[in-house]
Amino acid sequence: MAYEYLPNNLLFDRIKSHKHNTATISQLIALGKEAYTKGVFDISISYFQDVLKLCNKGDEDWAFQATSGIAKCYTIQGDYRLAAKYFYQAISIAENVPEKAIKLANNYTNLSVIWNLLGDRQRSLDYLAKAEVFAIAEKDSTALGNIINKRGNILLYSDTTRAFQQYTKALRISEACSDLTTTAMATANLAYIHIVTNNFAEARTKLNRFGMLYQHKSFDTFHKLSMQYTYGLYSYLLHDYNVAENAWLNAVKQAEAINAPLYQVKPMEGLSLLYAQTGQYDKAYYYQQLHDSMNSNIVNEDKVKAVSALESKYQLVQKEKLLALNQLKVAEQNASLFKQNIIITACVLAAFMLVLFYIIIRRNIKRKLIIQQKQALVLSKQKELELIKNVMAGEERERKRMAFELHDSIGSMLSMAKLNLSVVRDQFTHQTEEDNFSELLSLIDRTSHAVRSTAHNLMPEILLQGGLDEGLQIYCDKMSKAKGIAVKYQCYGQAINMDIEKEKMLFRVLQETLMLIAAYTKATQLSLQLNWQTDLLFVTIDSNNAPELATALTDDEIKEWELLQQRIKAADGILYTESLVNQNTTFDLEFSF
Amino acid sequence: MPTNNSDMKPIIKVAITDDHPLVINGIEKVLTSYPYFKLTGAYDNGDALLAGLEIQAPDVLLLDIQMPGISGEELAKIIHKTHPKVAILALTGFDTPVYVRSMMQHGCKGYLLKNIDQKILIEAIETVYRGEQYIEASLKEELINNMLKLKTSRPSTLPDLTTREKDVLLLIVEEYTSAEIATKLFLGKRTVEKYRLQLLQKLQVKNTAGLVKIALKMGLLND
Repeated sequence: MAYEYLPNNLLFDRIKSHKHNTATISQLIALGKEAYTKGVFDISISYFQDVLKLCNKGDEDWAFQATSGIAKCYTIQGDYRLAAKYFYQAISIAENVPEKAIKLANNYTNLSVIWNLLGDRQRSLDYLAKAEVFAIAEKDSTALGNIINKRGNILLYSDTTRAFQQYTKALRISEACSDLTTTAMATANLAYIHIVTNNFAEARTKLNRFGMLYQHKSFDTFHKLSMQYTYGLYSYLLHDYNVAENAWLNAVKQAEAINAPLYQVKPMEGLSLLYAQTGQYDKAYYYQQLHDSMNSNIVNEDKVKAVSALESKYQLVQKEKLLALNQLKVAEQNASLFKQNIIITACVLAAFMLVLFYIIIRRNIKRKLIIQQKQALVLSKQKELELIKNVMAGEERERKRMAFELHDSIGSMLSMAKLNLSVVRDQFTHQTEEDNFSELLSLIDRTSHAVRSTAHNLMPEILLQGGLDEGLQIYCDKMSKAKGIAVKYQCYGQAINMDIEKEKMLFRVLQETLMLIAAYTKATQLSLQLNWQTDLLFVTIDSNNAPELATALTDDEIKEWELLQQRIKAADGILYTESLVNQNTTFDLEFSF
Repeated sequence: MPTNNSDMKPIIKVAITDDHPLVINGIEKVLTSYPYFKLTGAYDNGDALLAGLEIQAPDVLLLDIQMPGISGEELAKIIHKTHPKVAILALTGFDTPVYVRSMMQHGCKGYLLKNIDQKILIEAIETVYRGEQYIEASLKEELINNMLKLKTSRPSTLPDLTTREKDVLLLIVEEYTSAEIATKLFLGKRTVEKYRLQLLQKLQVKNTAGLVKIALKMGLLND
């Protein structure tokens, strides 16, 4: 019942379980103040302590409010030691807060109240003096009025005159700044001084004023009840028993209406005294009974409140523990999951890297193998070409030797035979004999010519003395005469400079190609055309005949073509086109330099 | 064959240089049957010849081209310089025009093939003795033919195109691309490009427009 104004547990828990958040701190401060106003000081302290737990550097203002709040709660609870402790703490925090002067002024004022309650009036006055300095410096009339009023309270029991002066000053200041609370309190205090100094008329004046002031709407119910009790008390002291009775009866009724037994007890006690004073003993007894009963209830209720508060605290702590455990579990699970994820990710990454490495290495090995194979192939082809070149060179040397033999030896023999026989011819007398002999000489001549031609074919240096172009021209002419084939020769472009060996090789290849094509196509007309480019030689050989398609090449013919292709390759050439166009055959060769 | 020099022809001193004894013997046998030829020396290499000329220089020297040591061309050059009065007659088995031109350019007066009969030999010796030049008739004809052919192989007139070249030129003129020509003629694209180059070179034009012009000139488009 007493905790109907408390927020629901859910909100309570939610707020308690949050992390540092300005809005939440602000909310906790508000809840703490509300609990303080409602008189649930343990709960108020709990909220303010939550605020302190959440405050970081930069939250000094919040921390100050919370610390001050705790101190005020302890003050009302009567735990002045703790109250003082928290007021001192608040003062140290106030050094770093905005409007620190006013806050310091208020806290010094509160500390002075504590020391006053503790019985150290001098220290109490000292703190009030400090508070007064800050209030004057800040020109805070409200605070100043309150400070002076409190000074009056301290001096009341030792120096009534000075107390009166303080109250009068406080009243003047508070009226000037329209501070209703201090005005009301100062008025009541002055009324009291007037009572104790037997200045009853003035006391009544002040009390009447007080009676009007405390009913102002700006005061909350609890404050009003408190001041109503005071009004009743002072009226009682002034022997205005009717006024006192009315005031206390109203206080009891109003306190009952808002279910605030704490504010019923004192008026009941007062009524009991009043009725006893006025001889209304049944009423006096009644209210005494009521007071005792309520007081014990309040004490019990207080105990229950305390126990409930403790229980709430306990449950709160348990909930916090559970929450913390859950959070820990969650954190542990998250950590475990994170670890697992890392391990899995690491494993997957490692596997992926391994696979990647494997693929890369394998690819590299394959590539290397392919390169090696290609290199081996190239090497083998190079070796093959080298072999062919060596074979060709060997054949060339042999040809040269044979050519020399034919040319110098046999050729010379035939020449001299003809020369000598020509001498004999002149000795014949008969024409027939002479004719026959001439026939013989002609045969020798032709033989000599054939030997010479064969020697030249075997040794192309003879033909290449004037260059490849002239050499090929001569060869084509000789071939025409020897084979009875019309061989036409054309050359275009600027011949590329090359050494004699290359020229010989090229000549030999073209010679063989011409011979083979002539035989293969059974040509009666051949055309050999050279087209010199910058680093290429295009050769076109046209035959006026096409080979019989139905006739398959013999093995020897196939071998001859293969050999020819190898020789062409050895000469850095390629036979890449064979075309059959109607009745003609065209062979294209290309040589690179 | 005369047996005496009753015509009182001047005596012609002849020397022979050949690395084949058979040739020397054969020529010697022929010359000795003529009274107005006197064989002054027979040498089988260039050094011996040069040394012999210092002792006795002939009127006519029969010189082989292909000998060990100094070649016939070099010897002709030296002798022409040192013994300008000696008429050198090249006697060789090489019938290629290049040799003929070379020997004549090096100072030879005449060029003979070895497989001649005695009449031609005698005629040649007598001709060069007289200070005239002598080239055997068949060789002369071949030389002239060779010169003509060399000239015509670099024509100033339009050259002959092969059948394939004509086919490619026609298609170029008809605005076919190389790829299309290749497809049409069942050739590779590279072959067609090669023909294009050959045509540009052969017809001595710079580009396709030039080819069209030539084609018109050749009357190809009218075919």
